[in-house]
Amino acid sequence: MAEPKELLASACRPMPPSVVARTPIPTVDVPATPVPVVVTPLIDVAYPWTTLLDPPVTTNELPPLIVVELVAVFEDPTNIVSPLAACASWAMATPVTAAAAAAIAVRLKKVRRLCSASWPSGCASNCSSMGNPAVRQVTVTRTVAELRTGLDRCLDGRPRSGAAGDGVGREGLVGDGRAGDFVGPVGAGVESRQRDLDTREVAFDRVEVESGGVVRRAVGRGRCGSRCARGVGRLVGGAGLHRSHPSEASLWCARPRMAYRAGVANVGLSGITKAFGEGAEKVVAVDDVTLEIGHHDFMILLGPSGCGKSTLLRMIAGLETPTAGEVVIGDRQVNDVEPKDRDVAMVFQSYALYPHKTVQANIEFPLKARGVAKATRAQAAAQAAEVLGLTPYMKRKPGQLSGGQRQRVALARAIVRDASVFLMDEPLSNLDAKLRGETRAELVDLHRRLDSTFVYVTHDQVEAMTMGTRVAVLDQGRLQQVGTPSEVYDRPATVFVAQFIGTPPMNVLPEGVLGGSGVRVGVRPEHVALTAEPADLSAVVRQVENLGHEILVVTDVDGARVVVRTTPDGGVPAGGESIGLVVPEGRRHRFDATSGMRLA
Amino acid sequence: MTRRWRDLPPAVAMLGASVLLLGVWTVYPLVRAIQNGHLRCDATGRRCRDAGWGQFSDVFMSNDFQHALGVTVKLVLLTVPAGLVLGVGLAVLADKHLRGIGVFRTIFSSTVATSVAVASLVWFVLLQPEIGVFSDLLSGWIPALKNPGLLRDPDTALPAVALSSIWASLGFTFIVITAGLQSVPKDLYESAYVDGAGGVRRFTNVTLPMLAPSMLFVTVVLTTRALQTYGEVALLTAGGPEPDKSTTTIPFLIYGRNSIIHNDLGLKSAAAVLLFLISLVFAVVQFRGLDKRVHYGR
Repeated sequence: MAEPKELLASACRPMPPSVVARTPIPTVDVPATPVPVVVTPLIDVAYPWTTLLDPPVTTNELPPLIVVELVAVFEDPTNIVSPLAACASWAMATPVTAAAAAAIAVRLKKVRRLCSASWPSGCASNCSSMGNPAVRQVTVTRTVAELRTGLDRCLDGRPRSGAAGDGVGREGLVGDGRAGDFVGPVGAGVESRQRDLDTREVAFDRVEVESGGVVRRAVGRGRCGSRCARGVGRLVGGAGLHRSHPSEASLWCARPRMAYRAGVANVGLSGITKAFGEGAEKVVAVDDVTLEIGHHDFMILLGPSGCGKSTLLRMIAGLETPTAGEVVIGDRQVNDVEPKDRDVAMVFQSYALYPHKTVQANIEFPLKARGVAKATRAQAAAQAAEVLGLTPYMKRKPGQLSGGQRQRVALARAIVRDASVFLMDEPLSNLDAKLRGETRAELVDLHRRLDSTFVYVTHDQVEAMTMGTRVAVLDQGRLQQVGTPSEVYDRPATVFVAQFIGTPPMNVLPEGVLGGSGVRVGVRPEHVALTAEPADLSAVVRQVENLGHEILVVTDVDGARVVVRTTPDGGVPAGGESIGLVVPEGRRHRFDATSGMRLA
Repeated sequence: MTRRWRDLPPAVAMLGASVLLLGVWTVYPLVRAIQNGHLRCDATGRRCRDAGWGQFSDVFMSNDFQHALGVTVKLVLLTVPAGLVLGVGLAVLADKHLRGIGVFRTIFSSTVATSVAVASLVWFVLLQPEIGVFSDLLSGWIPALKNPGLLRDPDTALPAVALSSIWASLGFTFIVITAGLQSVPKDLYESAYVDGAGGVRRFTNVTLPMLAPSMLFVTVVLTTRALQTYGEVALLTAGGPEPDKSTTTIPFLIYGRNSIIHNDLGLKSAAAVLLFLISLVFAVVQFRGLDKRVHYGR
């Protein structure tokens, strides 16, 4: 039994020139000696593709290209954006080269891991046994040559122009809702329910394979059906091969927001400065900030009030114009681009819900503003509401909702547009502690599902540490450090970061204490040990705070306040007692006493 | 003694002033007007007799009252929508953070401190056919400015009065709408902006709905003012021009020196009560009809 990787690698050959016209597809040498192929169903196969491939054939006997149709039926409709389906569908539906086939195998492996790691527990066993619990059947349909014939017939041989695409796999086949250039990942539009789909004919003109064999996108032309995401401004569904139209490749014009999207949504800030006022009244809110936010990052802009984090976010949104520097979203500079054209959605601290509109009208508003048809709007709003548990409240007005529900409406209004970048300005600050905790988890889940880039402003380090994939710490308009939450916590770049992150914050001792001249040593409270013996530091206990699960001992070391975190199990000193503090060498952070910068 | 009874004396003391003012200036005159409305007097205004409740319907059905009612309603239709649109327009224009915009705000709101008498005199001079600025500058396009003059032409007299009335009310409308605008949260606009709403859509989807409470208030006040228009008519046209009496509003019918019922306390009182009822109907209809469409608060 061959591995899927071997199977696909041996079954596929480079595409003929007629198909790859403008395609920079890397090719690999097909072995001169025919390789026997033993077909093993990768997954549960109802209409076995062995019909075509069995009895075992050699690569020389295979048709030049194989297109495999895949139908995915999800057990859990809420997980329809699973990368599992997207990858599997893509793998099956894409005419591939041998090099690409290797990439397929790699991605399928990854999918398997994702599946067991993040799907509901009931799914895990299915994953291990079947490889893909979502896919019920795989069928071979047509070769690409046949496919193209069918497509040409569908399109009457006339390529049609549509909404201008941005060329990165997002905008196409939409706008006017009729036809247009389609650029999207093949097979990305897998959907859970037939009723959620829309069919459009599409002709794939080219399939692009990037270096490394990863198939990135297919380019084609097509025509929208009646239920497509008309006027949304982009094809968010990607393309799939529709099972019910085997003779014509059909595009799945999937639901907005829900489908996998290949658009690159990185945000680049280069030398961004923002000053308010002039002359003596000039205030520099953001000072020469350079920051790269990668696609699908959950970037947290963290800092105290007035540090410029919200101003930075507003400059990404287009609500403020940088005094100097460059804002890049995707691959274009957007300094002079209107907010509506930046492909960003924003959630405000106050939620900014329209009090006179119902929840449904609030959620639909961004689509309405873009001229999306009423039926499509309603459908998209219903789906967004379903994701966020707002369905029962659609007819209510914001004033009739709780704080948490309003916050979710604001989120729904943001996600309904399926923007590339979501900007959030302290969206949890008006919620109580319990709800904040729950909503944090929801946001993380949302980020995982949406495949969009999140930029999130907060002054709450708990939010930063628990939600962000990366954290950018700002102070007085300057960027102090960028890194993962653990990097920022474990290796603070400055004294400010050391003392801003962590509760209680890092103890940073005065110059000369434990370090040489010009050096300040910092240590986290949990890394200091108490001892009755003479130790690294001699201290006097000032205060003991018993928090139940832990005890904070506030001590005085030569006038400097040093907090020690310990457990109730250890001995707790009394107030006024003289004790020793042990500061392990490996836990010491050294900072330059003048600049505050980390030394090592 | 229960708490309720203990609270009674301070409650009475605090309400007393309002009750007294309302009683003396509103309730008592209304009751007296209703009483007087039953009287029918002779031509000298003396020797009155009780004509009963039928007098109110007699007055309402009379040609003079019907004519005055028609003029009054026309005046309402001329002044309220135009005043509201102008006030909102100017307030929105002035609600920008531009250098020197404060000067314009002061100018736009200045008429609130201008009495009806002064406003009417200003417009009387402006529209004067012989020496008025308008007739000098614009009579080439609008001959009626010169001959016979807007205030003397039966067809243009009411619009001219309306013009003066709109101008006089503009400051009030401007101030109320400006206050309403400043209470609209800025992030609603920003959110709509990011979501792709253009200027017109932001105006229709954010500004207007958020201004609705202010606009309802202004509409009711402007309507009530228009129904009570007396000063402008008395000073600009004296109810004329004759013989059409094309600017004789109900208040002028009641109070005007050359009114046909000038000497008849009974008929005047009946007309006043009818005007009160008409005002009440307008206000109730406006509140009932519009209040459901107005969203208060956030």
